[in-house]
Amino acid sequence: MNCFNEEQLQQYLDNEYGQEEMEAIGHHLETCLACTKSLAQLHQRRMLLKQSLDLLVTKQPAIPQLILSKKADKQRRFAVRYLLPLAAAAGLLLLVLLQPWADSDKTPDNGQTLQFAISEEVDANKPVTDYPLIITVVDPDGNVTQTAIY
Amino acid sequence: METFEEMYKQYYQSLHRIAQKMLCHDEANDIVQDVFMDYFQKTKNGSEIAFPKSYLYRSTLNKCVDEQRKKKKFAGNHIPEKIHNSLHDYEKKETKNCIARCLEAMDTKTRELIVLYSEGLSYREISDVTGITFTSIGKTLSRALKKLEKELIIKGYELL
Repeated sequence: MNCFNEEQLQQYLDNEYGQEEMEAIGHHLETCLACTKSLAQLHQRRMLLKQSLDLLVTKQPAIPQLILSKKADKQRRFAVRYLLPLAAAAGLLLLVLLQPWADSDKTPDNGQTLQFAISEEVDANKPVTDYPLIITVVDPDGNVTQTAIY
Repeated sequence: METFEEMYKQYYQSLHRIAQKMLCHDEANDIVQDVFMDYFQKTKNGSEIAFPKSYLYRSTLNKCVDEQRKKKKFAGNHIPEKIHNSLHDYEKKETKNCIARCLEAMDTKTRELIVLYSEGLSYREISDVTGITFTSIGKTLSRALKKLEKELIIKGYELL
């Protein structure tokens, strides 16, 4: 029987072959010094690499209590830190973008504008109903019409 | 089907070891807690996870890779290391650093493969977690171990 390559011996070492293949390799190893030597090297390499990697594990911790609210806290903190300012900025932007349309809605279709002003001094102690409401309308031709409501 | 608590108890330490090997620093606790938290949220929202064990291992590896990216990003901000109490501590730290550098020198897939193998996962389980086809695990693993051994020798770490 031909000798086995490193990959095959590695799989044999890791017990990853089926029973039949394991037996076949086992029989071969009984008579082949080269494969037995390779297998021993692979075995040593596996052991030493595992030991080396285990050095990276400084401690085997006790299983801590799982705090399930941690995620919710994290999400809340994320919302406060990032989502709220973002939402505020988006709101402001929307307000600025929609402003021209909002203004245009107030303008009547025929081009007339409506203005108001307090033109005389008022006594704050008197009810507002004691004063006449004077409506002054200026049409596009410049004609002025005044209407007083008592 | 295992309950969430059972899974937590069964896999916590193994995932913690993997995180330590992948990251080589003390972020492992947070990583593993996050992994379980995500798993809990996912199952709570009604998602069904067909292979919970593979999911947990994959999720841990992904979080470790993310953490490493973050670490690289802030690589300039060094935190001063504490003074070692003895020569033994210093040597231990140096050995650890050497192994960590060797692992870091390898690509992510190879590193994941070696770490999972060192934790005793079978070829089938490694295949499920890494996405490497089952039939090529033997070959890939054999090459990866050889590569790590070579890297350790180059970096001056004595295996024998």
